Amino acid sequence: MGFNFHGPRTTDMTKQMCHFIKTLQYEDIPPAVIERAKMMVMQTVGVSICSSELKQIKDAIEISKEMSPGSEGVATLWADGKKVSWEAAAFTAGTMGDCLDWEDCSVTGHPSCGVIPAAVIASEVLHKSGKELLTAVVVGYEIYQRVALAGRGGITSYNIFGILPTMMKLMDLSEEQMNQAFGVGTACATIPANIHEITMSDSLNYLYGCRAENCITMIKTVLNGIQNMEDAFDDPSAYLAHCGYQEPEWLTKELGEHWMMMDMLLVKHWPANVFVQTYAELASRLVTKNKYNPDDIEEIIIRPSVAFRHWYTDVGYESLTQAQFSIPYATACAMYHPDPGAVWYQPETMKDPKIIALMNKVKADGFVKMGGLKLIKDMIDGKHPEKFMIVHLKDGTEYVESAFTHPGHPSYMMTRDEFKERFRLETKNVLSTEKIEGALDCICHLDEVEDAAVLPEFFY
Amino acid sequence: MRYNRLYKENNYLTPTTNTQTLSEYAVNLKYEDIPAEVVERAKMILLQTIGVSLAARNTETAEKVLKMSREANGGEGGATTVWGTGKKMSAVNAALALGTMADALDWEDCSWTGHPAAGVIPCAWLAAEERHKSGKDLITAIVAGYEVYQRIAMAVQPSEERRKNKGWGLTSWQIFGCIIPIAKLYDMDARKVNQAIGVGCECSTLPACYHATTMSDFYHYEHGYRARDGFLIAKAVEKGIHNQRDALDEPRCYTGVICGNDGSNGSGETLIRSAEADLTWLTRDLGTRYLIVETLLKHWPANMWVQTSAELVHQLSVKHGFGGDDVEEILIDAPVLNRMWAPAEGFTSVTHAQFSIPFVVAAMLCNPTPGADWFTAENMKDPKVIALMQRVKAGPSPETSPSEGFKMFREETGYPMKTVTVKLKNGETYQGSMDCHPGHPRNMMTREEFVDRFRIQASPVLQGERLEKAIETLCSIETVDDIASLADLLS
Repeated sequence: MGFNFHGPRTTDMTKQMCHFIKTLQYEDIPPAVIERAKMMVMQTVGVSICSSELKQIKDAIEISKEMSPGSEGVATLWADGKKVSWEAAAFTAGTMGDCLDWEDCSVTGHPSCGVIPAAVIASEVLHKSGKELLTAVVVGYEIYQRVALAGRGGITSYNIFGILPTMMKLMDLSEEQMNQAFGVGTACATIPANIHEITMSDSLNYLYGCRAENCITMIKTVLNGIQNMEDAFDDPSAYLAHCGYQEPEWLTKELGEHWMMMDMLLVKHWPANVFVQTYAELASRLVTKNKYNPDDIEEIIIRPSVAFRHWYTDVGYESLTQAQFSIPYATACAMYHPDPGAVWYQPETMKDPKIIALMNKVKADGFVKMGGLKLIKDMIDGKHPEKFMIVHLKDGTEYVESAFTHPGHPSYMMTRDEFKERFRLETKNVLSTEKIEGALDCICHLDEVEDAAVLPEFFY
Repeated sequence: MRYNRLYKENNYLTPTTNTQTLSEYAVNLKYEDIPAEVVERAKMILLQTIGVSLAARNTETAEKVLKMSREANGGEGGATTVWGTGKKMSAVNAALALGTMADALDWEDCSWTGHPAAGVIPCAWLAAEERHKSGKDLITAIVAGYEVYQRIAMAVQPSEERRKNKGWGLTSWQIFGCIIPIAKLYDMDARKVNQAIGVGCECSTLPACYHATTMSDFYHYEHGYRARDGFLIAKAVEKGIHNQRDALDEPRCYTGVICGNDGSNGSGETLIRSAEADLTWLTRDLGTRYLIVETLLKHWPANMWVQTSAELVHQLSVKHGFGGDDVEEILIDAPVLNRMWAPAEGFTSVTHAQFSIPFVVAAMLCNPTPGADWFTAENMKDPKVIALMQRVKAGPSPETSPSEGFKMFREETGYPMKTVTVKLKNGETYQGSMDCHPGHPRNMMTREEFVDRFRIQASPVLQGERLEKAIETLCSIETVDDIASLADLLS
């Protein structure tokens, strides 16, 4: 074991995580967890493909092509089809994953936009089987969640600890190499500051893309050979010492016994922030069920709202992140576009006078009690109250809908058929019907696929 | 747009505009405004950094990073050239290679806060080549990079206690030395430079310095990683993002987090309790004082606190004509904390060896020409070198710490005095003392000395006419109309 100023470590949490990654077998994973892993592949790929309708992803694709000008590409550029380098493909796919804020939300962030592209692209490059892909996905989620709970960092930084284990597994690193890779990951982890959230910037998507790209280099750096960097999660001045809080017991908690991806991971039903989901759900239900014209709305009351997502604008939004974080905007958008998609965040939609007018008719009647940083965890634990949406039309008609949560919440998970329907909706403007159905069939039968390199062939 | 949700009472605007001031400085800086001695220093830093990168060309580190860069590039091709190879790559991947190579021998520079040269120089050169900018544009971008980098880095320097308990994040704030010259050469306006700084803040790595804790050679790759990230960030911002401005004006975005101490830091719900960041540095003497001239340029391929001891031993050996076989004992006084490593088994990590006064002194006496040969796997395990380094010992004075030295360096109150005593087997004893070695800002090398050093550094790649042509071109870089025209110069 390599040098450390602090002498021998008194704990071995890093080693325990490495051992879990190394030894987990497909056969050890319960069928329900495998099914969830497949559905997370489906969901994340679907929303990623959908995001290619947006300018930011077209830009990311250009950057990827520019950074991989050679003729020896090994990975498929999603939504484009060009073969580029592994790193370049990861950059775009990583940027895509959260672009519509539609993939997932765990109690700590968005593991799917790291784990899923990492697993799918690595499996393509390495020609791994579907079972190996799914095993790596499970490893990625389980380690991500534990690291993220052990110490608060930047939301995009957590993804390093979803991507690295996924790749460690697929690239068959030794436990010693995994240990070094974790050290490299902690050295590349970013500060616990979410500036994109403070400034409501869509830079967030590129941050995810950078993390996805960086992680491949991290693994390759270790595989090519470096000295030391071991036991970073056990060192008193390393990663955890810089996190917002330190609860190291999470790192190895119930590893291999409790599958956190089953109860700490919410699947988004709508392209919007996690706290916006149920309101978008209610808005869509109301307009679909009652078939009124949103132009005829006098007022929309929501009870309770969430204070730090209750933003208005008189001029519309430029940053899609800012729009995604506004309950009034999503409510108005869901009324005018009850079938969600990239259209919600096209510039003309975010500046649509009708949507701006309607969002300013959305009124909050009270707010969910804030529970500090536990707010997301409480929501995923089902502790948030029932939400009501009351629509008053100009003619005096009133419609009311309520829900505790939305399809995709861990306690209200979508069925496979519902996931498939969502995938069709997400990809309909980008992929042919043949490709959509081919992708669905491939994902649903991943455990039977001998070479998962076939999967990205459906993504353009 | 400028938007910060934490300042609702101020129309969502931060009350200060330090980020914008820095951004406008970078955008508005013109070659003609830069004093001649600053231009000359920028050129010498360019020469030095290219030289030490070429010196590293045949190291294992370079071979590995070149392999990774090529893979990330999807094979050869692109708008920029990797020094020492002549291979074409995209700027992003070339930056990974050159950032790593620039620090691989720990021979480029050391400022008050780290190694800006390993970020500024490759990023500036590659961006200039990529966008067909002139030599004057290149120099201006280098100066802008140093000036902005140094001020941000100085604003977040840790207290002694923090440095001891949490490390020193020199590879973290390095990102700003990478972003600024690229942004300048990409002709970004101040709004976009402001955004790029904001993305840089959010991409700043934890200032944990784990490479130092474990003495890992990953240290050198980190410089390449930051250079690569600098291009990715600049390209993303150039394409267009929204908001992400004024990050240096809100403690929860950067300064208070880097210098923070408690669990609430970074949260929008609570106040930053740490007042450790010195925000006055952000715009201090901007445009009137050039901090680039305070940069130390290394004379030897080794850690900063190894330099003076290596210099003294070198001078004594040249003056008195002794070699390693003649040495009975060498005393380093005052010894330096964590720089006196001399393990009986030698070293496996290049970084660890570079941080060892005994090893560097022994390697030099066994092979007086500085370069990559000192840090080969064989040399770091060579019984002859190991035997000699174990005869390099601490003198009688108490150990001094690198952080004490940095305090003197930054506050310009002097520099640690070293006395080296060499006892030969024949009974002769020689002694020498020095504080500021050649390359220290108070004992800066002349152009001729830089050029002489470059000849040694670049020799693994350039010899004869090609070497002289490179020297002539780099020393008159301000006359070059298009840096891309120099694609063949450095290989």
